[in-house]
Amino acid sequence: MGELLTSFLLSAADTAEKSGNVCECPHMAKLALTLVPLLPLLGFVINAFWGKKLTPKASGTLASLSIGAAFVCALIVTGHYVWYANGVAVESYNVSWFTSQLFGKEFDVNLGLRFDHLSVVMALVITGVGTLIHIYSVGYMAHDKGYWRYFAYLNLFCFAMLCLALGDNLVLLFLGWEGVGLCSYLLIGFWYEDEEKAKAGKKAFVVNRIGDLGFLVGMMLLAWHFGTLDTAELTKSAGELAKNTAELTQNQWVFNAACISLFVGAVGKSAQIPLYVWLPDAMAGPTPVSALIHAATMVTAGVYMVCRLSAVYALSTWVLPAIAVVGAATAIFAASIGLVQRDIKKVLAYSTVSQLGYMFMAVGLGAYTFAVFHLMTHAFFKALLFLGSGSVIHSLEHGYGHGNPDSQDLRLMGGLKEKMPVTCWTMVIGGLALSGVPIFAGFFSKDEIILSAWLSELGVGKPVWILGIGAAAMTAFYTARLIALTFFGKFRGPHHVWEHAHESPRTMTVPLVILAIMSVVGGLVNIPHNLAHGADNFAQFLSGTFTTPSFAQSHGEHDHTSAEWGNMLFSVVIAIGMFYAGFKYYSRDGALSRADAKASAGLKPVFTTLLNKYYVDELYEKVIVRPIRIGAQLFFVFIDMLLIDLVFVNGSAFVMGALSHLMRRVQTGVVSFYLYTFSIGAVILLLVLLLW
Amino acid sequence: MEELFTPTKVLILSGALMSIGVYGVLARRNLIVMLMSLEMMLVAVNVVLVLFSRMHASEGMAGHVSQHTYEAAFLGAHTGQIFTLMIMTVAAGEVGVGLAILVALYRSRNSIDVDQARELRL
Repeated sequence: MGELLTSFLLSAADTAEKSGNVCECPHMAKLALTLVPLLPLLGFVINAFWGKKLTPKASGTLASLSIGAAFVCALIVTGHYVWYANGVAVESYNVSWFTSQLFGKEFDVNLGLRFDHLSVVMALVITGVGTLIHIYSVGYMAHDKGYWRYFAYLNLFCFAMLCLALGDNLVLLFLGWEGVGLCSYLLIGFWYEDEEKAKAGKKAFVVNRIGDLGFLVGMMLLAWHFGTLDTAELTKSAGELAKNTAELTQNQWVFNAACISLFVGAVGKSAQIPLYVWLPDAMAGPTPVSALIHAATMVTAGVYMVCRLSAVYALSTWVLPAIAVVGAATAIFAASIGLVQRDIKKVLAYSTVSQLGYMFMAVGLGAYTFAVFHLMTHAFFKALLFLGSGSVIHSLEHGYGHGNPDSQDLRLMGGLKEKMPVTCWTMVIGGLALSGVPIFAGFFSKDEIILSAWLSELGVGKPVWILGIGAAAMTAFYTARLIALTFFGKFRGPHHVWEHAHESPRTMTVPLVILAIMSVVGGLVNIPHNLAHGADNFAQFLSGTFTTPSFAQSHGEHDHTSAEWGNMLFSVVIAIGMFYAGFKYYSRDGALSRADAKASAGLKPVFTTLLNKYYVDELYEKVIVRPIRIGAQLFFVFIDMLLIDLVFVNGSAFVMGALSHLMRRVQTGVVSFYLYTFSIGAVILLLVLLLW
Repeated sequence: MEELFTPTKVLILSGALMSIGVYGVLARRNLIVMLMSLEMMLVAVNVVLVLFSRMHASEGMAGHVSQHTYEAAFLGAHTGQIFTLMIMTVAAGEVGVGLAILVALYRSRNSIDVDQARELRL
């Protein structure tokens, strides 16, 4: 394996030098960058082929080491990039993937990685949070018989996600995009013996396919118009095109169509309205998977993609405002569902959908920096919350038995603070960060997004602001509810479960503590203007990366300090107020029965609608799934069974059989008869030749 | 002096041989007679080949000196005769196989009447 890798690297280096494409950066940085995705791939190969022979611990250690080493490599590249590269993107060894003709022009696609400002954030989040989750998984999956399969998938996921985030062209990005989709499918249906879970995996796959189709269409439109899919070249050509107003207006439809198609892809992958339905079901997978794939990394791929193509999006007209509206609508829609869910992971799933809505809101408003900022802080605190919930579930499963859904039911929890203090307090930190309480990471990022909405010159700015504030209020409330119901009050489950509950092992609590620290300090990289002038390091770091759309360009020229203070105070009051209210209400004994009683009185229709998730799944079932099933059944009976099987296949066999039944009468077996026909034939042929 | 074998006469001879052969193969049921008739047909063909070879030999010799006739001068004129030798060789082999089949047929059914051997049918 090692030899293979070395020879691959050598040949890659060879190709790069031959093509004269040697950039300034030293080989160490290049090698480190190449190794970032390859190390998890190596881990995957070893675990996939020989994992069965390894002990669970060895398999998990190997997987953690490979992603940990990738993290170290990412740190090396980051260090080189930040301190030595002077803003020139680090490029890996470049291998030609395939070359073809596209509308008469050469169309080259490379297997190359590029490391720039945006990649710093993505690569460190993926490998950093990924490493913590791998380590956590060693403890969480210790008793599972499919541990090696689990770690192989997890490493494969990291490889695909890094291809997605580091690839220098959209084709490689798409390879990663599909790769993470595959791993998501495999890991959601990890416990495939349970049909419900296998179905959840299938649902995620099918819903994602709808988005992927949009992505492909958008990619083809870009390739058609620009003749390249290299992201840097796309950015460059789009930047030149932005100055050419005549050509821009003439081809406006192409850019709008490409952008909206790509956004459809993002909607599928990042679980926005109307394709969000797969994400809550995806909670069927192991909890660390939910943390890594369905909270921290994969679902942010859509946000990343739009940020990466910000220059192209700047050419579109109505697409960005549409994205902002979709994001804001998703944020409040999912948050409202999260208010009443009874499964601890479902609450977090809807919360993720809602937070992704915030990111798209920022993207749509042209505030790409804050979208990426929120992406990063969200990766910390949502991974923390998921891992915390996993720790709780793991602990309760000792009493309930493995895979019992009761172990995830908030109604059967409570008071776990005494049993698992580390999980409790780290989750409280994560919850405060999610709610947007000051000092914690979520406050800084979410506040900037809401402020961008307030300051936006777009017509949709103010409505989006209202939705964002509403979603923030709900977020604080459901987070407080979750934490209060899990850790505070009295335990509401059976006695023997309480007896068996205990704090999780070190491998699980250490990642929790690290993530909790990150959830506190993660936001401090970007302190808003009004608190400390010039301390918005993160925004400054990223500012050159994105092409700001025209409507957001005047942003920052005026002095917005008063608006900033006003917004900040308003959202802080709402966050703290709602968190306090939710916590007070749900930490008292019997809160749930009182809430249920209240719900059965006046608010019943609202309550049941929320509990049933606005009946969206039922609606899709009726409007989309059932017609397709009926159509498929019709096609099966009439086209497949009747037309193809009966008419074409059996029919042609029957006709040939009948014909040969007639023809075989010629074979009399009498030699003289054959000779007669032969000579008559010869005579006829002769006559034809002579007389024709 | 009048030639003994004018082309017309030879062609009539060949046609007669061919017709007798065809008649024999079609009308008789005795396998030996059929094989003999077959041989007569081959002989008819051979005769025609030799005739034409001889008729065109003079053309080839007198030939225009071009790539095309160059070949004819050395080979083309004799092709028919060479071909005849070839046919005779093959015919000998064919008769050998045919007689072997005949013997086998006789051994298995005590008859060489082809109309009685009609198992090769559905």
